[in-house]
Amino acid sequence: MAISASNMLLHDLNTGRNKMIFATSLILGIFLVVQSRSFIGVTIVNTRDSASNMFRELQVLRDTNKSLTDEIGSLENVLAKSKDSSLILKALEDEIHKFNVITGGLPVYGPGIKVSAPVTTEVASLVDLVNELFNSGAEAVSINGVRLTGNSFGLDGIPSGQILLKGNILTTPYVLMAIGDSTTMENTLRQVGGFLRRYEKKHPGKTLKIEKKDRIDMEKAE
Amino acid sequence: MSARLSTIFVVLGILIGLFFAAQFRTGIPIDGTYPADQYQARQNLIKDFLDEQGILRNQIANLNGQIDEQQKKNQALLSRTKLSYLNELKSAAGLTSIKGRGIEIQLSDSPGANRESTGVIPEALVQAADLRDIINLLRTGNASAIAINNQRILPTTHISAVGNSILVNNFYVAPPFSITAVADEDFLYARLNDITTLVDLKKRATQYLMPFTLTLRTHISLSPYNGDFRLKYVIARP
Repeated sequence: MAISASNMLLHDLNTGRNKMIFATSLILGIFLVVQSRSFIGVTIVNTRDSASNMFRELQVLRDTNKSLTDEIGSLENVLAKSKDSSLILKALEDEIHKFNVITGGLPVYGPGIKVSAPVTTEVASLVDLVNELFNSGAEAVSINGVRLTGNSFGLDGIPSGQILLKGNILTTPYVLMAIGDSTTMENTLRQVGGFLRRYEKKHPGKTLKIEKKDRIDMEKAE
Repeated sequence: MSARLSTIFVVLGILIGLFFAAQFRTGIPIDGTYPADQYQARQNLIKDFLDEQGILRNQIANLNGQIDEQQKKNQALLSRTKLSYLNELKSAAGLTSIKGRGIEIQLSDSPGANRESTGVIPEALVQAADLRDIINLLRTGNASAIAINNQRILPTTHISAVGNSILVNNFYVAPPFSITAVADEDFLYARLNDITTLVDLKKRATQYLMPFTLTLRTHISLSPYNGDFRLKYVIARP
């Protein structure tokens, strides 16, 4: 029976019309593969960053320059205090305090947001989320209670699908806390074309839980 | 029989046509649809902001230097322990230059790909996400200091895309990218060469001939950070 069927197929292929159908189907299959690959390629690149916006570009530059100008004012103040014999000690202690806060040497608190990400969240999305939080003005960020300081807080995927941070396997859901302007941070995540929309597009049926908090406490970094 | 075959060919022809149409309409984003005069105005404004930024950053570097000098002059009046502690903290915050063994990653857009061109294929360009993935990988290898095109990477650093431009700490960086890290270079070399890391970037680098090289360095020198620190909302707990 099987031999008979294959003989029939060979016979059919020998006819000119069927050869054309076969060739056309083959071409169609190639187009299907090319098309699906091109969609996948574009999706990978585009889902991780927001769309182009020239006004946003100019706004970022203007805000950055304002921030730099403020920093200059602050540094001029430190320099003036360091030159005033009655304020030298105070200037040093203020500097120590400031850099202790920056480097995670002190426990801190402040307003902010809490973002809970479901178990399906992979390393790239967590990296992008942390980036988006700092981009929207977060001054301190923690993941599952681990404060992100120094340069040793890389997120690493392990074969079991879990994520490693500073040698600890993170439990799910991943809970990110960010201290900063809670309204700006929330709006940035939720904006059209923003992180939340891109996340939902990448993880159909999943979303992030974003909550504003009046006070978030973070322990000093280990 | 002939009518049936004709119908099949018509249907197949339509399907092929649809796929052709979908293929050519696949969303390569067009970034520069605004008219040429607006584009020129934007470029001029950006140049002005960047020129100003350069001046401000130099001022910050100078002021940090002056503060360090002044604190050294004040040594007789200050506790040496406290001064030493402050210097350690500043180093941890990225305010001192760092030298040591490490690794350099050189990465660039596909040859001939123009970031300003409307028809450029995004996959042929280095994306902000590629730089984030590399920095994340370097951090998993406990790099003690990292920089992109000599722009120091801090814990709070964000690497973002605005159109086809890439901003690191809100400062422009442009290809070719040189990512340098003071770290255990052998470990990081192995991690970066691992086929399970940076999968998308490596695939695109091969496909679009994007330059992507790793070099072990016995001497890497990273300049101090010369930007701002944000401390408006975070308060130290007593």
